[in-house]
Amino acid sequence: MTMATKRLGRAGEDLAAAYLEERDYRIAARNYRVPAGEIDIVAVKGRTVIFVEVKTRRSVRCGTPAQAVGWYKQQKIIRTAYWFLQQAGISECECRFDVMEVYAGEGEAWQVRHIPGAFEIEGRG
Amino acid sequence: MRGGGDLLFARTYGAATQGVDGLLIDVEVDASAGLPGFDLVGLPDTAVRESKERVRTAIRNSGIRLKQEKVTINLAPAGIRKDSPGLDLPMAVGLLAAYGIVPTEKAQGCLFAAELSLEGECRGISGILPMAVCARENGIKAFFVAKENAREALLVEGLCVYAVANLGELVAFLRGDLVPEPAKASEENADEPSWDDDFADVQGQFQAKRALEIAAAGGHNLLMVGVPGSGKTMLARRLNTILPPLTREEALEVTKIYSIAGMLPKEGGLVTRRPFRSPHHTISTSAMIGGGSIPRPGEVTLAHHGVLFLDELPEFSKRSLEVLREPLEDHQITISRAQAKLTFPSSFMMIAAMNPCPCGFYGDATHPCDCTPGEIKRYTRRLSGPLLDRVDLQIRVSRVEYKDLSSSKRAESSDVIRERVIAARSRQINRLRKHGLFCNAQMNHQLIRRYAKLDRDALKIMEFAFEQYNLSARSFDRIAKVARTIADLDGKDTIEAGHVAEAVQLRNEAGTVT
Repeated sequence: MTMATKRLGRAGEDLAAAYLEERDYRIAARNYRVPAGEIDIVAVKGRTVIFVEVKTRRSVRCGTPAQAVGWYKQQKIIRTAYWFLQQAGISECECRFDVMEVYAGEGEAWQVRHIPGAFEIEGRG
Repeated sequence: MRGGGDLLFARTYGAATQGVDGLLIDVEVDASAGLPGFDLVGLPDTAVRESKERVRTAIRNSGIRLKQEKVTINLAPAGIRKDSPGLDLPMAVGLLAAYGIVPTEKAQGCLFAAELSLEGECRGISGILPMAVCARENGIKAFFVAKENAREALLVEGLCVYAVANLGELVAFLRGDLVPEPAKASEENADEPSWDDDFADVQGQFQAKRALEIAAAGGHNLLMVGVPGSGKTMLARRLNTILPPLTREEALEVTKIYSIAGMLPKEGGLVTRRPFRSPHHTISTSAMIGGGSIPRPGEVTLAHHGVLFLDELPEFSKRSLEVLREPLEDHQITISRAQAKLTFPSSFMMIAAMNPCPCGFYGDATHPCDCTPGEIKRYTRRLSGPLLDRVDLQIRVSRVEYKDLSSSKRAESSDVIRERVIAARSRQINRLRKHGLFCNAQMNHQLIRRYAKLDRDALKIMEFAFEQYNLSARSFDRIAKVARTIADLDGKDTIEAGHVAEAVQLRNEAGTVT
């Protein structure tokens, strides 16, 4: 990963966090990292814990940002979420998995798209 | 509408089919706080597993938003594989009840069976009739089905059936916003089935017609051997027109089978015609007796209470003919697979037609046969002794004489023949009702001993025939059964010499059995 993409990702996450805070979400953790994986933002709104994956892209040449959150990545986030709930000592609460797309344009023209409840745990069925 | 408030546990009923019977399925839905997920357990088959997506999309498109929760749906009994797409609706209702959108107590005592479209429209499914029978047996108070299934569900008396167009309407019903109107049976079209074919179209062939009449009266199996173009197929196709009409119980059984096979017409009511199945001779064994990893009914079951016509009998594969032995003897067929072992009813009349030899003209008076004796032997050897032994009537159909063809005298019509058949059948039913049978062909050895008593002259003929033709013990029973039917057609209680003589003649006229 080049420094440039790292910086871009970091900037996207900052923008997403600011976007959530503006809308009455409380940011509980950022870049929550455990051996199982990493969650970009853990936010709380009301009684719901929200796990957010932020994807930033300069163009949609390689597909939309949300498309990049595939099944494998989802499983990784779900495992990390279990870890978080365990560590925080929360056993039963409402939870949600969100994806936020950040489109990086020229200068100020950045756009954020929030997808609440983007995915969930797939059952055996 | 928005799901909110307390999350609950809800249960409701769905149904699946197993063999020809319906099976009540408990659909239990639990929604609780936790990482959002959707779990479907209880051995769902692929069609049911996919219903998860249909159910959720249908709910959303009906204008209901459900918060993501940890949802678990269980289908009980868990040991049986469920393959009915009709489980969509009970799953949707259970889910809505768990979210408190419809009252749980309303959902609880009802049975739901319909497939959902992504839009939330209810679609008809197959197997509604056995499900309805099952619902009545289990004391279900209301049965909700798609509009196109309503008529079929109403065939079961004493069951409250509601036809729903879409999920939104059903939700309004269950919430009490709309008062549901129970579906009513439309005027049952009790009109006699009409036929395009008639025995009056067949000139000559008096002997063959007589044999068909006897077969129809007693439910006997029949083999016709004859030269090409002698009218074997034409005769067989008219057999249905002289069979007695289906009784209501028989009609329900047949409708049940066709419902499960998904072969009922779209506005399907009761099947009123006896089935006439004529599978092509390239048929496989599993298509003949039923099969699949979850067994489905085959031709022998689709011909239940009707006719299974096998044209060009020796052309059928040996295996697909030999499997007929069990259904011919037991009137049912048991199919065992790793997943399930099922028994299907298969009480049918087998009518078979064949040529006497590969070229077709062996034994014809005018046309020479150019087959070698070896070829003829190989041709007829494809039919095994045990199979032919189960055929009560074996006749030769010869070419129609020109004077018969050109005769302007109209032959006897099917209606007249049917009258006689019905009269003979009712004598048999009166005699056999206490044994649960309805025609002579179903009698076992004891019943033959009891009801097919021969008088002294008749016994003499029988003895003569035994010596003359080297008959087996089973043949004795077969001849006695046919003689019983001939006596019934004659309106006699005792079997006389003439009846036995005709039965002996019809048994072996084709000369296929030694």
